[in-house]
Amino acid sequence: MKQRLHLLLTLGLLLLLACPLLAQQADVFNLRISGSYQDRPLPELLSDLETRYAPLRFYYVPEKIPFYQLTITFQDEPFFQVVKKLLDGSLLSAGKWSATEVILVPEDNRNRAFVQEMVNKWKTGEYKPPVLTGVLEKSYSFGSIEKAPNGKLNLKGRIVDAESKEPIIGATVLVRETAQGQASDENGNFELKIPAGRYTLQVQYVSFQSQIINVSLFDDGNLDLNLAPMPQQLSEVLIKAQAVEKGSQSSNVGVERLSIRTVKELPTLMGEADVIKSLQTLPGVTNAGEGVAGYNVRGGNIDQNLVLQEEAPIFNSAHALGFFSIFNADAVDQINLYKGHIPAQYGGRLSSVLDVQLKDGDARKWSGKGSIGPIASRILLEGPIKTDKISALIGLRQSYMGWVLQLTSSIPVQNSAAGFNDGIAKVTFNLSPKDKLRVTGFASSDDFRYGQDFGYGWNNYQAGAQWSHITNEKLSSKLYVNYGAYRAEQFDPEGNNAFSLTNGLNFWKSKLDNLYALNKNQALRFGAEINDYQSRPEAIRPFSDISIILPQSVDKDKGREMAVYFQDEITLSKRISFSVGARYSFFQQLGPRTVWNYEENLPREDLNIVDSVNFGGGKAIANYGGFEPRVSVKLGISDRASFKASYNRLRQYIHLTSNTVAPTPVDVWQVSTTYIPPQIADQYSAGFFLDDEQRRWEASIEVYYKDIRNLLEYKDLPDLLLNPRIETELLAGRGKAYGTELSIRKMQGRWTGWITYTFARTFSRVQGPSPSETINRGEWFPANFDKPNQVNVIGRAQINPTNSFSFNFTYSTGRPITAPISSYRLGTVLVPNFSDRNQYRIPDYHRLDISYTIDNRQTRLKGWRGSLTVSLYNVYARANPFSVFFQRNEKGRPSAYQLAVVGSVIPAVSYNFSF
Amino acid sequence: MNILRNMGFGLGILLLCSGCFKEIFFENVPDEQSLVVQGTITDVPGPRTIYLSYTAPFGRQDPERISAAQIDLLDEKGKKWPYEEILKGRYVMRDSQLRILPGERYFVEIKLTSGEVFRSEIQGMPRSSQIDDIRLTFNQLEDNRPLRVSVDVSALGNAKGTFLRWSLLRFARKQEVDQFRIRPFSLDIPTPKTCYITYPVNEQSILLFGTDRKDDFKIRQQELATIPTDRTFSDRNMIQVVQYSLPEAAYLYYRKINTITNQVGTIFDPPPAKVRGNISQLNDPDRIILGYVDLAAVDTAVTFVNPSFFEPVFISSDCMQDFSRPDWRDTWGFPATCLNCLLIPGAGVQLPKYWKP
Repeated sequence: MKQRLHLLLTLGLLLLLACPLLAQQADVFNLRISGSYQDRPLPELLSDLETRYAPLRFYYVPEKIPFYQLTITFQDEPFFQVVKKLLDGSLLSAGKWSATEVILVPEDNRNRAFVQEMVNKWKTGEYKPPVLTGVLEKSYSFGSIEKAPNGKLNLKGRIVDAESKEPIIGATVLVRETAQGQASDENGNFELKIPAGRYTLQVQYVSFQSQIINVSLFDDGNLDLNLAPMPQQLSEVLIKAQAVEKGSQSSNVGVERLSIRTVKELPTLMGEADVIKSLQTLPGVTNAGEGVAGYNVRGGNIDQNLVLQEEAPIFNSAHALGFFSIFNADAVDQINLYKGHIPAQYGGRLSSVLDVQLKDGDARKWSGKGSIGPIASRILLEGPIKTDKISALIGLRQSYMGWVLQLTSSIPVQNSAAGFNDGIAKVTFNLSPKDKLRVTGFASSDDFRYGQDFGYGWNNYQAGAQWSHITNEKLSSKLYVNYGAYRAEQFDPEGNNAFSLTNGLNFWKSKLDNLYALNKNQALRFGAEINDYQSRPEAIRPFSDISIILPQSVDKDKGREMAVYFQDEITLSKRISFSVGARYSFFQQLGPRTVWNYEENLPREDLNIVDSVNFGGGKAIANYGGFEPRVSVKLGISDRASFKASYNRLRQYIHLTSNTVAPTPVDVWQVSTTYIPPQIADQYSAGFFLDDEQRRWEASIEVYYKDIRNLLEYKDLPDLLLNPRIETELLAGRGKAYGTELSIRKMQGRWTGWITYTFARTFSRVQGPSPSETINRGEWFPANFDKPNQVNVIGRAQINPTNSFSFNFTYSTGRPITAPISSYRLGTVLVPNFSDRNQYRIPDYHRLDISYTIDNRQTRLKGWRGSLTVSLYNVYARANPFSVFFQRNEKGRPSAYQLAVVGSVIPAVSYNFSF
Repeated sequence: MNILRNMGFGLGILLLCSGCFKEIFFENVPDEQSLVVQGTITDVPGPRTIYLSYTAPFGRQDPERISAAQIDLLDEKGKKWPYEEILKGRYVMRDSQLRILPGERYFVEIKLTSGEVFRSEIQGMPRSSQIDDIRLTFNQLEDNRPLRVSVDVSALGNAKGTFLRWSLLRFARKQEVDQFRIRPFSLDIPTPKTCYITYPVNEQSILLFGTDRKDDFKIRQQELATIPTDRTFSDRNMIQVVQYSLPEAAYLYYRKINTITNQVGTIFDPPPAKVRGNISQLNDPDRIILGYVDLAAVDTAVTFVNPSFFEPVFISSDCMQDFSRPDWRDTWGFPATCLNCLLIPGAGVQLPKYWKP
């Protein structure tokens, strides 16, 4: 009885205490809210509520309040429900502090002392609402008023995303005093010509924080601006950036730009953001299959793609045989793929140019970002060595695939090793407003060993410097000097044939690129380039004590490629512009070398050698060269529709010799020689481009035809390794490729993404003077990577400000193969007899990948920020065939089998962070 | 280097590939036949055999043999040694006096009943490298406990290098169960036979070695085969290694054959193709004739394996009585092959050449 009485008293006391609280709660939570907000940042929205429902107050830590924008509508909804909606995805939760005060605290930090301190800071004025959409004001001064020249001064600059350092295309810079304005170009650059004076510039771009710049301009100035993004809209903005480049307004045809953010958001194998794999979601870009290095563009072989990193060529962009690429996604600034119109400043490859530019280190503050994935992690640090003068960027990536090997039941696989790593370092010197020096170093390494049976390794090294100089308001120049090396090794560590086989290539590249603005409608680009290729000998040596292999070395050819170019970009009117250019390239095969002469009208075989000629070191052995016209035109049909066309001729003097289905690390880069003429391609492209007024949608259709001469082909089962007369295994053929690329992109809204369909055919023909130098009786046959139909569907949904979902579906026709059509016996050995080359196809390829990202990096202004991505690669576990091979089946009869490299769904979790 | 191609699973293995291999069938495969010629002309007398056939449609094992052809071996001076057909599509040169010395050059001419004439390229006989030793190793701790066979070879220098091919045969002795012990009072008890069963070794791979070393040198522990140690090793076995010293062109041909027969579908596989041999049709040189007729200097060596070699592992015979067998009434519980060893494929009662009791 006593106990019951005690309980009643206690409850009664609690009720008495609770009554005022309930009453107060009712005050706040009984409010019903109506209103509609469009693209308003959360702090601003809270301020608005405070104004409308005074004396309502919100307390939070300003640095930790999400600054994403919200578009939201309330119709007579309870206050509690409204606050809950506002905080969805923010990792903040609301609590009542008093009848009119609401606290917004991190879900994981609700202790009273912390909250009390936070409230006190608001009440003492230490905390203030953050200025987010309000304008940031900055001041800059160039020169002194006493020395101000007459005439107009040049105010140049570059506008970049403060977070990603990517250029912002189309940001406006408005001079309030003169009402003069300009939009930033494809590289984020702008240039104003205004008289000396003091000005107020207004810099703005949708979904980015605007800035007011007070400029005292008494000399030419360089103004680099970082705009802070409004996160919710980021993807839209970035895909908009693509639209500007690719849409109806651009004068170029066949140019693709990938945002590095898009690259990171695509679902990937093992969660590794990958530049090269991301390219394959674009129309006209394919590859031979999973785990294959490189990519094919518009019917070109993989060696017909020039891959540049900071203008230095990369000769093997693959990590782990091709499952991943060597580019550190955090260090990349821009990715441009030229596959149609290739500007005259680029040359040396037939099909495409992939220009990967790295970020400059932040010149104001140190920051970092990185990723932790299931098989590799990476980190990037950037910051000032001397504020605003010297900045540095250092990135590292290291793999740890050993645990994956242990998951298998195979002992040899468990005893295997695989790994890769790479490092990038870049130092940027702001020497003066007109001079900038960038010094870059890069190295990557790969190792793979299968049990005690075989292994290989390869390395890329690069060192380069780039000096940018603005001579005057019309002329600017860039000088590039690059040195690089590629090394590859293959080894077999056991037995009488234990060997180590190495090869490599050293190169020097120097390039001077100038841009001369004749007037606002015409710009002339001109320059010169020299590439020096020093192939290292292909060398074999014994790899064990009992090995009978004798050390042997086969010298490879050396060469020098030179080019001069010009390109005139002319804008006749808003709707009509064209570009006329040409490149003259010249190549020399250089000694020392022994050149073998073969009997005329007989197959080029060892048996038919008649004599040889020795050339000394540095002597020119073979010379090739010629003009490469580059023309493109844009005709605007309306403000939102245009027709574009281009014609290009390209010459290629260095070729990847490979006798395997897909390139391997030890394939040799071979320069043109007396017997290996340069490959020459003529490409014709045309396209129709359409986008809507708000740039929400964009559609395009492009067609192309490519004619290739001296296409490098191979005799059947060629013997390329350690072959001193490799010309006896190579053939020169003819190639043709044609296709249509359809693309529809949605760039705004909750769902963004693109759908592409490509119809493409690629054929080769080799008709030599003898049967052994002819393929398929001289008839056209499909190239290894001829995939007539290809569909890509890429979508991304922003579920709420922090959560997003992405998917990637790809379909393509199976690639051609040479199939077994009959069999015969040699003793006990059952031998398949194969069809003519590439007369059959493996089954079609299709795959769905999905990923879900919880990205809280934008919910904090400072400190450690992270995002978690869960991805599933090959969601429905399709065993897409990669190749077909022959084996005896269990009955001893010959059978054909298909091999799928990936046959199951591959889940991955990766964590990206920045600080 | 072949290992790299053969075992180049690469990272596919790492990616936990499930269901990676699947049989595939092609449609619209043309029903065409190609002529196949295969043979070896050895330096010393022996069964110099040439096989003539047409290719079999893919998926069928046995090719169609070609009968009634006229085949001759010719030297540079035009002297002929005829072949005669002993089985359909199998032609043997009976002349046991012909010895071919290193450097002598020969070719083969084939006339079909259709009138078509084919010739092999002329080849020179290389110098013969000698087998020094056959090594057998057995590790009971190894998976599947295989018997490993390797050879030591003294290679004799040749102008273009040393090129070797090996073929291995295993002969297993099997003694029938003496039925007198089981049914001593029966009248029709046969005398138990001793059979010698021939087993091919590595039947789907051509064992090759090639180097352009032109000097004399030693090859040590060249591994040729791994043989599963099953119950056929419960009695004495003989391993016979025949080594062929080849011309370079023949070696390159067989290497191509290995390339297309040992593909595993990885990126290290070269795109397959028809392999043109050294036979051509006189009036149609563009026609692809499959197969090869090589000139080879032969050296043969044998070694023996008794069950005691595997100790402490005991390999028991399969001739154990088991009355749960469905046919136990007829066989008194023994496997039928223990009562009649000739039922085993490849079995014969003739003592194999080189066999020592």
